Amino acid sequence: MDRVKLIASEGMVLTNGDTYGKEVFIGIGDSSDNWWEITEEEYKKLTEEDMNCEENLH
Amino acid sequence: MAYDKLVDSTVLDATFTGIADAIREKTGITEKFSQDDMAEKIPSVYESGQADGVGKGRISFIKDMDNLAYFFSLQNGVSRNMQLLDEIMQADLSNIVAAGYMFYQNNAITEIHFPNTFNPTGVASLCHSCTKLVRVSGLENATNVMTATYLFYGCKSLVDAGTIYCSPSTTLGYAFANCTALQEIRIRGTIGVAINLSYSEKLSKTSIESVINALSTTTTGITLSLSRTAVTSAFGSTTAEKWTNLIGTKPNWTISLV
Repeated sequence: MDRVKLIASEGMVLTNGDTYGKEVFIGIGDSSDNWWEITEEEYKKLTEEDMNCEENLH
Repeated sequence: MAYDKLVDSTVLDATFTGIADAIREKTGITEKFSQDDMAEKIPSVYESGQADGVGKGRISFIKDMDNLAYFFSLQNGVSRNMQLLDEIMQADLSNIVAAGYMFYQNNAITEIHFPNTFNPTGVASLCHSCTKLVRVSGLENATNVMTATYLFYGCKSLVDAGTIYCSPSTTLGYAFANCTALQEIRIRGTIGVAINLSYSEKLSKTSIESVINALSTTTTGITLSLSRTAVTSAFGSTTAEKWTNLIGTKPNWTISLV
């Protein structure tokens, strides 16, 4: 079975709002429509915020 | 006469006296001591508590536990913060139901080898932020585990996580976040929820294969995140036939490479 493969543009990262990737192999039940690009700076900021937020839960 | 600030130390003195009385009561210390000595005396409160209570349980699977900070009551699984004595031998952890935070933020322990009797339903944050933890084994028999979130969160020295049992509903959120040194992990059972191993750039080919082979064949719309560096190192490239064949066995999963 051929998969849809998304590749992030230079300086960008793909996200579906929960997870991130430079390359994404779309599975059944998922869609390329669910993924969009953000800049690497946004990615770093979001993941840092995410980690800090989760750490504060403990 | 003008005063910038008036300080009534009566309440403060009473507070310190109360703390000192509590320390004396718990430890049997009879001498008086200043508030400067309290920090030094407080650990002996934990030691006395352990001698009375947790000492009935044993945990032989711990090495390098000099600064172990927290662990659970071994009698009933109720969370209690205790300071571990130097060595306790011959573990029997069969009574522990919830083992969350068992080694939370212990920054001295390097190896944990869980005995076969260790089979709680929850291991959330079991080794959260154990920054010097290198090797773990024995979790493959923990078949009751339903909650494994934050299991190895922040274990930046962890190289070998051993074999971990997963049921399709075992939650794994942030279980491997910041596990930057992780090379070896094997999965027994089935992964049915999102899992993120993207922090582990040194993950071995065998580990990647083990994780992907364990992915559920029935769930859809779930994502496995891996390190692109790890996949490239293991398979040569992300277009390599072995890699595409491997992920082709789990078309129901979205695979993201970070």
